[in-house]
Amino acid sequence: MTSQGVLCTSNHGSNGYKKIGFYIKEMQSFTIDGHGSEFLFDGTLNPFVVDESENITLENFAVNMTKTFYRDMPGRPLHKYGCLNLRGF
Amino acid sequence: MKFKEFCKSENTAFNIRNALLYCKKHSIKSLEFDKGTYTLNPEMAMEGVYCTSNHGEIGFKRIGFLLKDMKDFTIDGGGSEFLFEGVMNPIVVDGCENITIKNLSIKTLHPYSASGVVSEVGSGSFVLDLYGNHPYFIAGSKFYFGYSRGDDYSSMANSFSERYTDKERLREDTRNVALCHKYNPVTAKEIEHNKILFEHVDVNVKLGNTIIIWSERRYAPAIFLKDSKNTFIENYTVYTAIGMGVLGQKCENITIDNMTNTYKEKGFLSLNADSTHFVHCSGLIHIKNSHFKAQMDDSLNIHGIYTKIIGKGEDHLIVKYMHDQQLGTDIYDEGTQIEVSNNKSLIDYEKFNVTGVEKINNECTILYVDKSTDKVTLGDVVEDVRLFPDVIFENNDSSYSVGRGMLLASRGKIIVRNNYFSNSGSAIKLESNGSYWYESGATRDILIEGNTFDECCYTIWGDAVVHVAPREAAQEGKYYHSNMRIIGNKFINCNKCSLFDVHDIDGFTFKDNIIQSDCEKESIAEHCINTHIEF
Repeated sequence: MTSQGVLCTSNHGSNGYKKIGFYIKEMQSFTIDGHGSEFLFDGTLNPFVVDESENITLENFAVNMTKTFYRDMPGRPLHKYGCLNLRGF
Repeated sequence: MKFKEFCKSENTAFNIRNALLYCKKHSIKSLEFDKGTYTLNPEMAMEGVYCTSNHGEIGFKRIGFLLKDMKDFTIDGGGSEFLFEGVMNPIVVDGCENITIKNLSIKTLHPYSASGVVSEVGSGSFVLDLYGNHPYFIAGSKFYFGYSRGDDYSSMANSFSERYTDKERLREDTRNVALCHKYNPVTAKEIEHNKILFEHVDVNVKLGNTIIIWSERRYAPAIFLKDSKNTFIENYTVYTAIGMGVLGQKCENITIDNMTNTYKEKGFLSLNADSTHFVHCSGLIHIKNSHFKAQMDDSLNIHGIYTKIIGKGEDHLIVKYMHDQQLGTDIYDEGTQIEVSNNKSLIDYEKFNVTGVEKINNECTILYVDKSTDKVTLGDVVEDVRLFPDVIFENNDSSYSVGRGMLLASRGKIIVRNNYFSNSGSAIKLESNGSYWYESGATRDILIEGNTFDECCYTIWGDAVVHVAPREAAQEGKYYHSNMRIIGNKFINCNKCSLFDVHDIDGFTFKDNIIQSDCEKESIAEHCINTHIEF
């Protein structure tokens, strides 16, 4: 029941319909403050999309995909977090 | 205007794009092609984002002819043949009014299907000598259509169907059989080009028979009509497509006159899905003087959509499109009426006016309603009951195809008249359900009159010429369908089946039919009232 958009994402491919956790579309002067939270995303969805917006701050949070298309192999250090970490975490 | 005035580049798809944009901008009434063969390539073709019911594969689509928000416009192919390379939608009509498409044929050059003759057999294995020159490759011991592993086009050959080589007839004791899947044991090995050994197959095929192999992917119907009013399709032939012949989605008034789907080359293969298919349409769907042959599914399928209630509030229901081929069809509009039904009996118990529609995503939508939702049970289903079409299907023939002749599900007045049916399964089937397909359409008035049913159900695809399937549960004194009359038809050689097997109808009449069949099975009318049956 997440938001959705149609996106072409440079250097990613897989263009088309995307489920989106936080869809910030045509917004201005807006902050999402996670207060140190960890956001877990099931399945394949875009955690955050900021589209045609201005003065947006994303802060104090971590993103972790629960199901990625890769696995860490034994003998390598585990990476706890999948991707985005913009400020203050 | 003449299309040749727009032939300023070597790229036909690009020229067609330029012609259509010009016609739209200048309110030109028609685009006329000189008779010829036109080959379209997706590279510089038009593009749109579409969710195509009963196909899946939603998203960006390259399109040969995209008619978008146009009015009073005709495409006259002048008897031309349009060939489509790669993977693309040949024709899309979206948000249009009074559009005519006529005098043309469509062929997708390399659909996700191919056929060949069986040249060697073993236990659970056979060698297939493929006809034609379809691009294919073998990877991981699986057979793929396409050029190379990982290209956008490639798709595994999932199923096969067996038929005779010297006549237009399916093998009687088989239906579609699984071929290559990621997790099944069937393997493919190239002996030489166009000569493939398949092993670990579930059935033993017969030497010399023809095998059709295809992918379950339905990328695009040859003609896709969406949110359009008054569309006319005349003198239209389709040989191959990666999907259906015509798909109408949320359209009002569609007339098809003299459509043909058939095969052109050796191999007995036309469309890899239905000939015609209409979802949540309204007005009149009129199909006449048409010929449906050698396609891999029904000649006609017409239905609405049940969505499942997955949440509710005081003034709203949250509904979900359940089948992945229904995603994004967006059937609901503000001001519509909906009924809520038990998901097994499909008998309605609550009605609402919809005061607002808020789409969450392609799966889920919030419907704001005009009264309390207290009586509504989560898990039950919703049907939009404002839009449904009348249907006239007359003077057509439907033969030598896989599966049924037609699937009917509409509350409108339906007339099936003066047609010839010779189908491997049931000629006429009513099958609405609130599970798996989630296709809606309790019928209220069906007249089946003056048709010839010739050796229907000769394979194991069906047991009755007319089959009205039961619901998962029946309610005492309540009936899903009403008023079906089968009058003045001829049943010839329908020997392996019954003439009818009908359930859940208030008002069923079978009379004045000529029966030249020695039926192995008894005709049944169960959970029906007001029946009038005369053999």
